[in-house]
Amino acid sequence: MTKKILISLFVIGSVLPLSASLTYALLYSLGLTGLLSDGLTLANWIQIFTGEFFQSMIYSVWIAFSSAFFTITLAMTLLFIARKYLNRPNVYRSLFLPLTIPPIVLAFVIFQLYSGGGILSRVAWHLGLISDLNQFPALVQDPYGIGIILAHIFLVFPFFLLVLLNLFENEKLDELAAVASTLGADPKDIIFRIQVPILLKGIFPLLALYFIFFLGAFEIPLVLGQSSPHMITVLIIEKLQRFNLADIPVAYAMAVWYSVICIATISYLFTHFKKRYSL
Amino acid sequence: MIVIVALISACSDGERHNTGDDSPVLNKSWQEILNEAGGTKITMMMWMGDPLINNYMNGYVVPNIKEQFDIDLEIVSGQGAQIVSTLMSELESGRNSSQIDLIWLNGETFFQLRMIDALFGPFTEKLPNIQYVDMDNPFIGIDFQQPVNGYEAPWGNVQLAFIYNTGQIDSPPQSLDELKEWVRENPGRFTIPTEFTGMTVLKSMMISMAEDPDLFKGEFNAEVYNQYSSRLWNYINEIKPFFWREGETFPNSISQMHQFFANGELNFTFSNNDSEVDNKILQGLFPENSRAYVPDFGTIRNTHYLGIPTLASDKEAAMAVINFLLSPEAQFEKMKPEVWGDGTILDMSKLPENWQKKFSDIPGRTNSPPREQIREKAFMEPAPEYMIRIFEDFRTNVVN
Amino acid sequence: MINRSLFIFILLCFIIPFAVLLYLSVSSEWYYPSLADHQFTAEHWRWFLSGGSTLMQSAVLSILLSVSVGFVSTVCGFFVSRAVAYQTKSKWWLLTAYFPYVIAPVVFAVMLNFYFLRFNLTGTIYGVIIAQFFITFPYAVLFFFGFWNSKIRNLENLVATMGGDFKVTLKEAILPSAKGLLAVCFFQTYLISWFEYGLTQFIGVGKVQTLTVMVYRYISEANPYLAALAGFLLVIPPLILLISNRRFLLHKVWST
Repeated sequence: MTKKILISLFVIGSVLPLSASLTYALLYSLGLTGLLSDGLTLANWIQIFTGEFFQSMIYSVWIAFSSAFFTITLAMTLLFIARKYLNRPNVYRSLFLPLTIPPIVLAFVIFQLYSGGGILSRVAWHLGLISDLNQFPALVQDPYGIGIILAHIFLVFPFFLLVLLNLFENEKLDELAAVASTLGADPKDIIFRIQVPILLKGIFPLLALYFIFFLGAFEIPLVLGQSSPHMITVLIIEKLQRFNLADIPVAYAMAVWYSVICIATISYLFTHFKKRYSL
Repeated sequence: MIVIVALISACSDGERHNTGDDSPVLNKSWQEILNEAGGTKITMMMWMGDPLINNYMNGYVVPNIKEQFDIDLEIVSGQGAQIVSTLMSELESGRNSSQIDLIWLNGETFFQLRMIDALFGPFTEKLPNIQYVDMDNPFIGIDFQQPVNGYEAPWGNVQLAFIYNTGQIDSPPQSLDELKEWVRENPGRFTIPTEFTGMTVLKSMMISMAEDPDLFKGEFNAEVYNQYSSRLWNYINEIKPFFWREGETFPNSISQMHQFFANGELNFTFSNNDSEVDNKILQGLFPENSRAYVPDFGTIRNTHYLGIPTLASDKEAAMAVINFLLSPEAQFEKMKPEVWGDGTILDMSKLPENWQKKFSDIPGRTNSPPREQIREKAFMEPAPEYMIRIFEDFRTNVVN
Repeated sequence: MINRSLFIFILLCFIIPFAVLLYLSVSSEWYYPSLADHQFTAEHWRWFLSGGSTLMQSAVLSILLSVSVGFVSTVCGFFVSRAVAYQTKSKWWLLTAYFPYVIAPVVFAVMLNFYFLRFNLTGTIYGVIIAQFFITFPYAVLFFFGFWNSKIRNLENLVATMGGDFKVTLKEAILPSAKGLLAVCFFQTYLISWFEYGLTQFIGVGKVQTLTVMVYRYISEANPYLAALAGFLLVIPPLILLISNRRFLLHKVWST
C-alpha cells in the first residue's frame, strides 16, 4: 500500500511536471492556447527552422561542440602528461575547486577578467603591451563565444580529469601498456591506438551528456554572450519577454524542440550504454 | 491520462479574461480609497538598472509611503516587455489576482497592455494631485501618439541626450553628417545599445531624416516607416564597421554602456534623461568632464508613466502610492540632480507660489543643457509600432 | 619539474576566481587602468554585515530555501527510489527521472509557468521551492537507486523474518549503510538549489531574491563590487563542503 503511494509520489513529482509543462508548451506553439492565439497552426514550428532561431541552434551546437571538444582534449592531455602526479592527494583535491563556483558567478568573474576594461587588459596596459583599452582582443561577447567556451572548460575539465583517472585505473590501462610494450609497440602507438580509444569509448556517454548540458547553458551565455546569435535558452527567454508578442508561441516551440532533443539523446544513451560509473 | 488533464486545463483558459471589475474602486471617494489602502502590502515592478533611481525609491519613497499611509511597498525588477509577458501569462492562466499592483511604463508597453486589456482605469482623475498636471499638454496627455485617457498617470518628463567627455571631444557632432564623419575618424568609440534608450536614439535619427517630422504623428504608417527606416539602416550600416567591436556586437544594457563610457572604452553614451549626467557625476560614476547635449538634428522628448494592472488586488493602495509620487514633495525630491534629476510633469502655473519658487530654485544642472534650449529640438514620440518595428529591424538589418 | 609547474599554473587558474571576487568586493571607483591605484574599502562588507541589509536578507533566504529543498528532496527521493526499485521491473521508470535533471532549469520553468500561475505559486518562496524540487527530487531518486540492491534487500528480509517491523528495519538494517549517502545527496541537492539562477528568477518573478538573483541584479546595475561580494558569499558553503568532504561535490550522474 505504502509502496503504491510512494510510486504515485514519484509520478507526481517527477513524471507529471515535465509532461504537463511540455503539453502546455506544445499546445501554445501550435496556436491552440494563449491570449492571442488563432487556432491550429504550424507557422511557429516552421519558424524555428528559419532565420534567427535556426542560427541560434547552429550557434549553440557550435559552442556545445567546442566546449566538449576542448574540455576532453585538455583533460586527456593533462592525464597523459601528469597522471601519476595527479594522484597525489593535494593535487587530486584541488581538482574539485571549480565545482564550488556557481555558473553565474563564474560568468561574472570571466567578464571582469577578460573584457576590454577588465583585469587582464589592465595588466597588459601596465606591461606596455597595449596603450589603449580598445587594443585588447575581444574575448567576451565575441562572435566565437570564446568567453563562454572558457567558462565551460573551467567548470568541467577537472571533473572529466577525475573520471578519466578513474577509468584509467578501472580499465587497467597501465598493464595493457606494459603488455603492448613487450609485444614491441612504441609509446606513441600505445597511447593513441590503445589507451585513448578505450578512454574515449568509456567516457563517451558522459561527453554526450555534457554536450547536452552545454547546449542548454543559460547563465554563462547570458552574461558572456553577444547580441546575436544568442544561445538557445537565452533566445527563448528573450523572445518570451520582448516587444513582439507574436514571438511568444515561437519561443514555446523552440522550448519543446530543445526538450525533445534532450529526451531523445538521454534515451539513446540510456539504452545503448549500460555500464556503471562510480566515482 | 495526464496528457488529457493538461489539455483540458490549458484549452479552457485560452480566452481573454478580465476578471477585475473596475467600477467598485472607481466609484469610491478618495477618502474611502485611502482607508482601504492602509495596512496593505503592494508590489511595484519597475526598471531597476539605475542604482540612483533605486535609491530614490527605496530610500525616500518606500519609507514615506509607510509613514504616511501604512503601506508596505515592495519593489521588484522588470522592464517593458517583461511586464507585458508577466501580465499576459497571468491573464492566460485565469488568475484573479496579479503578482503586481503598480508598474512603471512607457509608450510601447502601454500600447501592448491596452491591446490585451490588462490595465485598470480610467483612474487618474480620482487622484487629488492630478489637479497640478496639465493633461492637455501633448507631451503629457499623449503617450506615443495614444491618448492616455486616464489609464496611466504621468510621472516624469525627459528628453534624450547624448553624453560625451570634454576631455576627449572638443566640439561634439551636431548633425547626422558630422556624426558620421566623427565615427569614421574615431573607430571603435561609438555604438548603440539594443534596448530602450538605443531605440530612442534610432527613432530620433529616423525622424530627423524625414523632411517633415509631422509625418510621424498619429497612427503608424507603414509607408512612412519603410521609407525612412531604410534611410536609417543605410546610414547605420555605412558607419557600422567603425562602431565599437566593428559593429559585430552591441551592448544590451544601458548600464553596461555607461560603464564603457566611464572607462573610456566608448566616447559616447546616451540617456533618456537629459540631466542624468549631473546625477552620475555627483555620484562618482561618470568622470567630471562629462557633458550632455542634444544634437541639432533633434531628439525625442517623452513622458514616463505609472499604471495599475487590471488584476491588481490592491488597487486602492496603488492609487495612493501614485498620488504620492505625483505630489509636489515627491516630484521636487525627484528633480534634484543629486537624487535623480527627472523632469517634473507638474504644471508650474498650477502650483501654489511657494512650490513654484522651490522648483525654480533647484540647483542648476551644470553639465546638462538648459531645459528651455533643448525643448526646441524636441520631437514627440511616434506611435509604438515604430519602436517595435525598429527593434526587430535593427536586429535583422544591422546586428546580423 | 614540468609536473610541478603545471600543477602550480593550474592551481593559480583555479584560485584566481576567488581572488577576483575578494578583490572586487573591497574595491571602489575601479576605473581603467587601475589595478592597485584605486580606492580600497571595507564599506561594502560593512554594509552587508550591518543589520538588515538586503544582501544579508538574501543570504538568509537562500540558505533557508536551499536547505528546505535539499532536505525534502533527499528524504522523498530516498523512500521513493526504494519503492521504485523494489516494485518495478522495468528500467524505463528510471529513464524518466533523467529528463527533468538534464533539461535546462530555466526552460523547464518557462513551460511550467502556466501551472504555477494557476496555482498562485509564482513570485512566492513556496513556488520556487516546489519548482526546484521538481528538479532535485528526480535527481535524488536516481542517486539512491543503486543503493537498493540485493544486499540491502536481503538485509531487510532478514530483519523481517526475525520479527522486526519497518521501523526496526530502517533503524538496524538500512540507516547504518545509508547515512553517508544521505548526507552526500543532501549536500548535492542543496548545491543544485544554491547555484540555480534562471529558474529562481523566472518563477520568482524577481521577488524571491536569492543570492544568485542578487548577483545578476548587481551585474545589470553595473555594480561589480556588490556582485563580487554576493558571488563570494555563494562560494563559501561549497568551499566548506570541499574541505570537509569533497564527495559532497561530485555528481554521480551515470548509473543504472
